[in-house]
Amino acid sequence: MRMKRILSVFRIDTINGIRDKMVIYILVAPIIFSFFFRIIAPDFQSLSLLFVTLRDQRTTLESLEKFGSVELASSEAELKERVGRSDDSVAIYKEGESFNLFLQGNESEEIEEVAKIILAGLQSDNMRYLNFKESDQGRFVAPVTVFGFTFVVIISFVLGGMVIGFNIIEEKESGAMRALMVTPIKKSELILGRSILGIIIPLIQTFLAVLILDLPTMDYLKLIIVTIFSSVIGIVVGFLIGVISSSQMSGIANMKISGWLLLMPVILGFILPERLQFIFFWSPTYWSFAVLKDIVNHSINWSSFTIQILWICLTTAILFLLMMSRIKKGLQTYLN
Amino acid sequence: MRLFTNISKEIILGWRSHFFLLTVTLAVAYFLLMTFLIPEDLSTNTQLILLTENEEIARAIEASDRSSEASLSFVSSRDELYESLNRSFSSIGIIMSGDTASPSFELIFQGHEDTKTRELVKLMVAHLLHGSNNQPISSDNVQYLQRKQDDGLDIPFNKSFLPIFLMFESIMMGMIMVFAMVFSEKSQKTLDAFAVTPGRAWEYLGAKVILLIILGIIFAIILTALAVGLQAKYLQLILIVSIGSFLSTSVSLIAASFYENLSQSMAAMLTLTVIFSLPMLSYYMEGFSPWYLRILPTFPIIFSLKGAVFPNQGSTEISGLILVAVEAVWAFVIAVNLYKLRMRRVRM
Repeated sequence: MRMKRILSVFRIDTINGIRDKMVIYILVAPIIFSFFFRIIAPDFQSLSLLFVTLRDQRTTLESLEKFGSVELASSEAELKERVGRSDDSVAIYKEGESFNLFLQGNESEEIEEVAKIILAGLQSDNMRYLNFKESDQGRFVAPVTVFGFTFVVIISFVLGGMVIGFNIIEEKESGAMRALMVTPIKKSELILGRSILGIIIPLIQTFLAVLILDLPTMDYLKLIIVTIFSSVIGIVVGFLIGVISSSQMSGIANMKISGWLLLMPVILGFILPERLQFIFFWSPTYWSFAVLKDIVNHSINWSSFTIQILWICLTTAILFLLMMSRIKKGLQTYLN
Repeated sequence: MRLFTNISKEIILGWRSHFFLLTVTLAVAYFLLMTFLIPEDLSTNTQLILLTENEEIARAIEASDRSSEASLSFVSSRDELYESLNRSFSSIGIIMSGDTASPSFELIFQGHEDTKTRELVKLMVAHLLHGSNNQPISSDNVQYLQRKQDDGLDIPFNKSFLPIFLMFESIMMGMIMVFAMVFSEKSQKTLDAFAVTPGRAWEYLGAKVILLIILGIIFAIILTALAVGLQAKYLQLILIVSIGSFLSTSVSLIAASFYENLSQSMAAMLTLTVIFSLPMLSYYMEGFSPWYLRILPTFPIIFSLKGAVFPNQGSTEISGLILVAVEAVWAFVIAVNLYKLRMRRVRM
């Protein structure tokens, strides 16, 4: 195996990628996602409500603004029209000496209960004589930012893998593979050379996401390690898609299934409670998600980190072993 | 007639590429996921963990009507409270001490909560403490736009994912598949061959759109029937899926016209998919519907899907759907013109 050839494959892929603007697009997409999560994080609070009140009721507006976002309506009719729209908003307005609550009728019990508590609070002002002492656990990163960050990192290596896969399919279709077959390049050199981009791109994106989402107090060494190990998942899946798909159409069908298997554990892992997360232990992306989440929350020491990295390796290895015969068979037609 | 020939060609190609098999498999997979992996009774709301260090306060809270506050849980020691806070990063701890005349409250937040959430928690604590002394809310002060459903049938947590899955697959299935179809034909120069036939661009593209609408409808019917049976409004569901799929496929056709191959378009494809998925945040987090999500065409679609599959818990916003249909037609017209230009270049 020659390093020079591996680097040549990497150089050619990079030049082609930049010429096609593919590398630029791949780099830009997760940056856009990071900016999006940065924008929504302050508003995305699990206890927040969207209120509607009348424009001329200044005191009601000020009271409601303490608990959530407020939209203004010029009349009761407009207020009711706003509540009737498809999203969940509740109207609270003053009529005479008392406050009225206006609901659509299909809200969840929790929304209705919170709205009624706020209504009762406005009526009786029962918070006035109570003193509260506040403290916190030092977790200043909002759950949605944690999810956003892990999602961006995972998307970046999944995307990297998919690009590897579709490059292979296109080379098969265009016949470029035949030209490669008459060169002295070995199968292992081509695979390694092609994989470098799949590691470098996620690394760049991870650090851009750290900057955009403003997560400066991160353990960077752990972050680099987990990104490199996780990138292997994307590369394995990318090669798998590339070698087993005979055309771009079947490639997209395979991408759909593998994307589902890779991303679903991450999305559900964010929603489901810890006691139910064992159902995703088979998924390497779940372990990447778990490590990244703990790194952002500063709640992981080196021993647990090592165990979780081993889980990423183990699940990726199992995935690889399960698919090895198909990959081998596919590689035989890909490059002899 | 040419349109039907094109449609049958697309159906044959879709069948050969296992698109139909994939659609049915995914529908069954989503059903299994919903039924066996996602629990029925799970609250994703912020968990309030309460520790009362005084018997009198504990009794006052017992007297409070908290039957519907599913997100309140009790612990018996500070250690247990901190353990719970470390387990769930969206939980908030409340320690109540002192006596009812001069109660003392310690609120332990995670650190990421904003002032609005903190104020709301304080109000909830005050409400809990005042228990039975809370001034009851007169029914005259609470009005509903539509008749309140008293059937006690809230959507189970697992089935609440149904509109999200329908959105993700039925509506947006076309977004990814149309890229594959376009690039596959680009590499085989099908469009160049089509350009020298009397066939028109709208027939060529329309056939793709119709195939993807059919796939979307198949997915929606299978998954909805498995999940909620006859409870759903199927005609309404088919209409929403058709409009949504028409829009997403047309937008993807526009995007695909700017790229030469799938690898190049991967980032654009993913960005479009994510942008169209964003209103799921509003669906998942009630009360979170900022303007930048409301302007997305998929915003009325996801809530209309909810209205179609859970008719008692949601409603379909007709004006929103009409707007989406108009946007879909516009997107399709733009796509047709872009492909016409390309075909003209081939003819020259």
